[in-house]
Amino acid sequence: MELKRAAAWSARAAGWLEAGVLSLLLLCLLVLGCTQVVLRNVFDSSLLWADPVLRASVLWIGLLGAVAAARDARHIRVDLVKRWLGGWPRAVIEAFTAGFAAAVAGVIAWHGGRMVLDELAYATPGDFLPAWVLQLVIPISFGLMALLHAGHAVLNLVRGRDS
Amino acid sequence: MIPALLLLAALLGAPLYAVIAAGALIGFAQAGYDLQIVTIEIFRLAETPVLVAIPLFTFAGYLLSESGAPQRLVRLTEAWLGWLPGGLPIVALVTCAFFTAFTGASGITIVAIGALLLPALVEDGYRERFSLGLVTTSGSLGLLFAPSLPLILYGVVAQQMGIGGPVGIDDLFLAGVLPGLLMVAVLSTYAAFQSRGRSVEPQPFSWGKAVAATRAALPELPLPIVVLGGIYSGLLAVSEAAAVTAAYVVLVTVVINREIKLRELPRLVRESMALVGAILVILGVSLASTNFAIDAGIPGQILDWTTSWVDSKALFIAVLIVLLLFLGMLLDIFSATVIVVPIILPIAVQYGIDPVHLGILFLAAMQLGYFTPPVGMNLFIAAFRFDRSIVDLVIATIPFFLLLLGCVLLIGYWEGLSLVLLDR
Repeated sequence: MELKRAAAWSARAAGWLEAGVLSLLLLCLLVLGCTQVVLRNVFDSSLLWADPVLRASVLWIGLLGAVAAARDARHIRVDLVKRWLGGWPRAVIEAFTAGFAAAVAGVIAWHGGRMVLDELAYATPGDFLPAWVLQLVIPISFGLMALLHAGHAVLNLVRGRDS
Repeated sequence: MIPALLLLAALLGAPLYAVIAAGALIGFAQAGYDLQIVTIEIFRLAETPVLVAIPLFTFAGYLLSESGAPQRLVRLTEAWLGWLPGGLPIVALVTCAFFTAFTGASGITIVAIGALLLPALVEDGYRERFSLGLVTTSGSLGLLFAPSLPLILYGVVAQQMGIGGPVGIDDLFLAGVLPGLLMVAVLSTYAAFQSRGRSVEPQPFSWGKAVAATRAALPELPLPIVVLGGIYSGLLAVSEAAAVTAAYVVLVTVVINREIKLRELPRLVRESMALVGAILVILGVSLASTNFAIDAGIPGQILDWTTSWVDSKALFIAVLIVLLLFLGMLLDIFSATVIVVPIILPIAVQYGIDPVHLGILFLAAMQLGYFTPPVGMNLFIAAFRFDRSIVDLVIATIPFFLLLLGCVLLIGYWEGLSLVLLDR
């Protein structure tokens, strides 16, 4: 019971953390985007660094949003099984598909990590930040998604055994 | 063997991004590439300026649907259009189209507006089957109007391909106007016919009601002007219009109308960005899978195979529409765009189809997929929301499906309908 409560608490805390980070990034998009409009149309100038920051924020928002989607099991998929099956067959299939997704996300995270290390070694100068800092989101997000998918798979196996 | 296994995983319900990524990983591995190439492709998401528009428009749409905007929009359209024969159904069509354009066709429209309108339609004397079909169909109606997400996503994918002439997002926004209006007009006409012989007479027009409804909706009214006016006047780039829209919607819902509390915002951000993440991660991995497909010469093979038995543009369009309707049953519009467009765009260009026209035809056909049995998403959302069986909804949507199919054929064979507003 103690363990279950700790798990529920940590899931909620992770949800808050995602909400907080995503809010900051979106605020950054919003404020910078509007600033650019005003600067360009009123003062006929622009912040040179704003554009790369905006584009990088979209990458971070997209991939961290994908982590949130993995936690809520909201990734886009063909939803036939969920609608026509129930009980343990459904749990087994859900466990299989989540395990498959965990493996794929894990492989991407691994190669993303290699990409970051390579970039660190060769240190290409980025537009405003070294590229490896921006790329860091790929191993982080896909690593988290791998863990969340794996957790989903285990949960379904347990559910399938119980039903 | 491997494609069959991946297809099986997809049909069993594996997240599509994982299926697409697995295809790219396996393909590149077999061809002897370093698999870092896949992550490098995903990183290209950070090199596409117009993507900035997607999180901002999505967030604005989420805020609007959580506020009192749907009710005010219904009241406004009812006050101005309710006196027409078939007034209320037309209200439903116009409101839903407008709302879907802003919320990106994610099924929110049925929940937010359909639920308001269904009881009103039945009370107004319309047959229940007609009303049910109407609100279910309307849930995807505004897809062709700016600033809908599918339009933006098609533009992004087509720009990545870079063939057959430029595909500006603003071009797509213009090209969708007349085909979108055609769909609204056809369904409105059908609704007007349905209104004959029902028990309740249309409400007379009242200036008092119209003014009151307009005043209530006053803060939201400038939105379409900000978006469309800003983009078409050249004052705002698409991504800038998205930033201004989001800022404006926050101002209206949080500060002026106070319908959304400040502390609710992080939750709404997380919810809306989960949708954005689900779309962008598919786009990211599909950049890799498309790259692999091109490297392996797959589009060329499909092109050769197609040209060997499809010998005219007219036949190609027919084949394309059938294919898209079939795909629309299985895939959601976002996955379909990133997977299918890279394959069909080069072929369509060979047959002399303008990429902008192709985009409108593609989205119009996929729009039908939202309520094509057996898996159309809106059928399920409506079944859940209105507590009806899927079979009821399928039967209810048949006349709407046939009418919109007619529209899709017209859009497909009448290129000018999409392109006349563009200087081409």
